[in-house]
Amino acid sequence: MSTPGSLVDQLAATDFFSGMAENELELLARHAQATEHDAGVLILQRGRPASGFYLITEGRVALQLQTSRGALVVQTLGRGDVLGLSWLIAPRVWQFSAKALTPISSIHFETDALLEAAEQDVAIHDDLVSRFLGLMAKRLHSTRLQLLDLYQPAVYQGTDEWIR
Amino acid sequence: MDTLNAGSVSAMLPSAFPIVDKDWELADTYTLHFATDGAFDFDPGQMVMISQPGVGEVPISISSNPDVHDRMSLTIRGSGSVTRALGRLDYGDVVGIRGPYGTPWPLDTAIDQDLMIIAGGIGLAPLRSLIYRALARRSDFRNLTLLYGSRDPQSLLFERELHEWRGRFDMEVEITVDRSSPEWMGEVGLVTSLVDRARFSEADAVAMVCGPEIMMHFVGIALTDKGMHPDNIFFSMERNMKCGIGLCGHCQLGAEFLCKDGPVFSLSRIEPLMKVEEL
Repeated sequence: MSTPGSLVDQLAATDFFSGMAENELELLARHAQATEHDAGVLILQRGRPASGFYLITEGRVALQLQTSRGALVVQTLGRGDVLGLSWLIAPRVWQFSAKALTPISSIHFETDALLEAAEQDVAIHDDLVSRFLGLMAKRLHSTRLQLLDLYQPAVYQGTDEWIR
Repeated sequence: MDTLNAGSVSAMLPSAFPIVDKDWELADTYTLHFATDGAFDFDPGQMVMISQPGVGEVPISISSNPDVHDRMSLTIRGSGSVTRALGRLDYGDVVGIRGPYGTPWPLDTAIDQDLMIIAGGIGLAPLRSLIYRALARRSDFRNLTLLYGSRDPQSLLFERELHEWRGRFDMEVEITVDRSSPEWMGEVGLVTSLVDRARFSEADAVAMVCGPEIMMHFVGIALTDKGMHPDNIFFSMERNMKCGIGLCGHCQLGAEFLCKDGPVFSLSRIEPLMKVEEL
């Protein structure tokens, strides 16, 4: 397992935690633990309490919903991505299941204790929430663009028949 | 650069080319192949005007290997009256072709740099000729990466080549789809998510991007957010083209004629125009 010191360096080198103050990184590191999951494992289960998030350091995870057509993947996440946003918003239950598509290495953060500690320092709390809001906005933005169906051509207005 | 072809009398006069082969790539997308007898040179990124008498003429980027000199291919999506009519043609039918026109991908700017090729949807077609040329000159570049976003797994263009390129040891290929299906085991998400995860040296990389304009806009943001300079990001732009030689103004975007000054532009040059609503 990583020592808190090396973990601070590792977190500081990621895009998501880039530019974070040393004391905030140390706080995060105190509530973090390196984890491994085998391919095929459900890391998060929809409807279960959300009390943590993962920073993926290696591997690929599918966010999915079970439907009448089978498990449909809404997004895949990989190295450097944060897995798990529902811990921040009531009712704090996972909205999607997350399945390891490959063996996964990640850093898991226990958020109940982390939030409690962060609430003692407004600057840390605000920075943490602000980073997650930024990530949520980015994912919402991507989802909107996906819904626009950008790669489809404009609807043809002619009356001639297509040949296939 | 003289973009006129040997044998062409005028930039506006098409030459007759019989179709020597045709492939259906997708339900609405086909590739027409033409024999050129070595008389048709082009660089990746350039386009031609292809016409069917009595129907009309459209600009299409060349999708074939620029270093194979006896054959030229155009990959076309049947999205309008001309492209649908062309799709009804087959072996032996004759079309008019003039060109090639426009600016090619500036591949020399990527020498000794990481080369990122980023495609969205049908945008992979104009980039295929670039990929062929980049692979022919592979030792000129450092990392070579293709990032490709498609609507869904059924809409992936050039699957055979994608498998071939992915199997190479000297090229990274990452593919994502906007909408998955239960059997799809690959990435799901916007093509910008591939940019976020791609391994490249921001200061020493060149990106060449083709796809819907809004997709290119957000890819540009993702690349500049990663630290790339807009001078090193190139887009292939598309507008309604008519003459192909900068006379008629149909494809004018601000002061730029896309057919003559483009279609390939650096982000630093085209970005101010892309931000103007309804231009």
